[in-house]
Amino acid sequence: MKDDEILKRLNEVFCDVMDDEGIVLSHSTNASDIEEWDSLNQIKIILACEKAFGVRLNARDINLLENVGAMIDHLQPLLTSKS
Amino acid sequence: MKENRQKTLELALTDPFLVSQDTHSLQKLAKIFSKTKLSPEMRIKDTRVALCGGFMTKFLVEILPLFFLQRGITPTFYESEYGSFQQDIINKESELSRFDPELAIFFPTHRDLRFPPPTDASNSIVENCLDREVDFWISLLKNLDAPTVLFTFDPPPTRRLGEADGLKPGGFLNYIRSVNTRLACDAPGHIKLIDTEQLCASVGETLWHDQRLYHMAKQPMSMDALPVIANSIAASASAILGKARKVLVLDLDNTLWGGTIGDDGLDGITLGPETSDGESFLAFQEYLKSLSERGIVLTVCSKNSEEIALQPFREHGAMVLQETDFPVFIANYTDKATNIREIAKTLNVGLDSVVFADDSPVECALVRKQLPEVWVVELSGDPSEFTRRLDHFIPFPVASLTKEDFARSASYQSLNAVHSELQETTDIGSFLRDLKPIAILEHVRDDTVERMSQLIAKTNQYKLNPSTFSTSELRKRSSDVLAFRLKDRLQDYGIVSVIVTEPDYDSNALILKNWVMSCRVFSRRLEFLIRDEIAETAAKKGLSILRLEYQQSGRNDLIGDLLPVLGFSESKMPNWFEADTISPKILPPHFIALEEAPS
Repeated sequence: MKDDEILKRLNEVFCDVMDDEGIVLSHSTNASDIEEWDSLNQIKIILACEKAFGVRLNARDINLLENVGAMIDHLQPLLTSKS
Repeated sequence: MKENRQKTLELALTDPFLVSQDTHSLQKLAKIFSKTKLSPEMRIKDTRVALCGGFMTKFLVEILPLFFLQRGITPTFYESEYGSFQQDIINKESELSRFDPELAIFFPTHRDLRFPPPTDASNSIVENCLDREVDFWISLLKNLDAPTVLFTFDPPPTRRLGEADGLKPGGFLNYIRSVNTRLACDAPGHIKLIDTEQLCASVGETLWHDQRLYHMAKQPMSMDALPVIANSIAASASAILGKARKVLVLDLDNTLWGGTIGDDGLDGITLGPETSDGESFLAFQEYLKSLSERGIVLTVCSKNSEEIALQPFREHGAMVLQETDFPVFIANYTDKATNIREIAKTLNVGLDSVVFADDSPVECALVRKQLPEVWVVELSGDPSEFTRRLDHFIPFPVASLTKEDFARSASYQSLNAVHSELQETTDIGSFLRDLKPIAILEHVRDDTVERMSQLIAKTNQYKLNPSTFSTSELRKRSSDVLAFRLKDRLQDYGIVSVIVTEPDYDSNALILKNWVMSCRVFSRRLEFLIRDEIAETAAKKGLSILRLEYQQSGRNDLIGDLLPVLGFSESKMPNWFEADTISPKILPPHFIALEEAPS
């Protein structure tokens, strides 16, 4: 899956979890850019990502995911090994 | 778009199967709800609820309002911070104390246990640990004044003694179970327990625990377990706050038996151990019977002629349910919405006390549309699933079973008999006299106090205001509590009316903090006898005025209309009514003799 495609689907996940259609993500977006991106929503985003991409993430890795770019980088190899 | 979302929310809140939605959908509904202003008719019972959990409860609190609203309660939440729920309760200066909850939810986990014995502990060491453990929790819980929902300790995700962990003295699961059993025995009356192990089993243990989520966010149970937990909390809360449903309206054909009695005849309907479907209908009837035995009122609403509808009850050998299990039995060709209204009226309950079960999608749709307060359960398809479909969303939560609950069904029965006799008797006076009624003045005692507290909480119609009284509060006020049991030659109705009074010597008045009476004894004129007793109580204390606060709830017009008859008129302060201790002379005769119970 291409980075752009992952970004697009991540964007959908964020809009869904935050209940806000106006969110536009870029690689550098982090928690301080989106008001609602708190630690609780972080958990929800992770769980929703797992559903959306059909992958399983572990707790250690999740703590390292500081911005959207890091999430894409983390998801990319998991999705490649799947296909 | 916005209207659509509002509609989705409203639909969800009138759907008894809310608990079947997945957590993600519920979170979205909760989001909509948090951005919605509640219409006044949705704010039925505002209640301050404190959640004191031994884990991170934010995800639970997020979806919890939906389940409360679904059961007619508008909650305002206080949430203990993670890790401080015990201090919160002990500290009288805490925010929790200031919040002054009307309902507390206490949800520790096995991680909070204080004295778990070592695996090689002997029986006597385990006993010692148990004593200290139970003492600790009971004395902690005694700091909560409000009615409390207590989750028993959950089973751990790992077993330190392997598969024998639940069986050996030093097993942790064994210890947890023993603690829970003791708590169930020893917990004070204002505490209602939720059996967490049963809840966990109903979800499935491997689906219940989520170790990763616990390590990430300190929520030890999975997101998927939250709806079941939230539903059980709201169900218990509704029972405690007197909002629990208590009437089940049942269809007959293809609901209690397979086939149509009018077409297939007695030999043609499916019921009995001969076929698997017949067995399923039997099992369903047995479940319904057990509901009836714990005080849920079963009624019939069937499109049939009465004679045909009654035939299986009178002549079919396999029937578990009897005609006498149904205080109201309606078989006619009127539409079911009208009939259900009639049933509610006969039983003196609101439509929000009613659950309706029918196999026909058409009838279900009609009732859903016309009577949105009624919970509709469509029982179509495989009858072996009926019990689970009806039972798993906890339609009829148990507050704590009192003897009166078991007797209630029987007593609705004779109320109906009273009603039908009334239609035939022209002289109500002689009818009432003939029942030879006796009112017994009851005292606050261990075996009565729970019923009194429950009666105040559960009553909707004959009730001055929403104030409730815990068992401990009633004990404190015992000398100022008047309670009456009603008996007649047909039956003992149990304790049916409670008045909590408070003398105010400064203003020379006896204040009636609240006065409730069970709808089972409306039209028995007991209120007139009680009016005299209240006046006498006041006179004994040298007080000459009776004063009370009447708050209209939309359901208590009955008592509001009665106040002038009892000699009360509104004072200068709105909602406050006063009367002279001398009863108005025009009160109708009640024919009730008065006795006093031994104290």
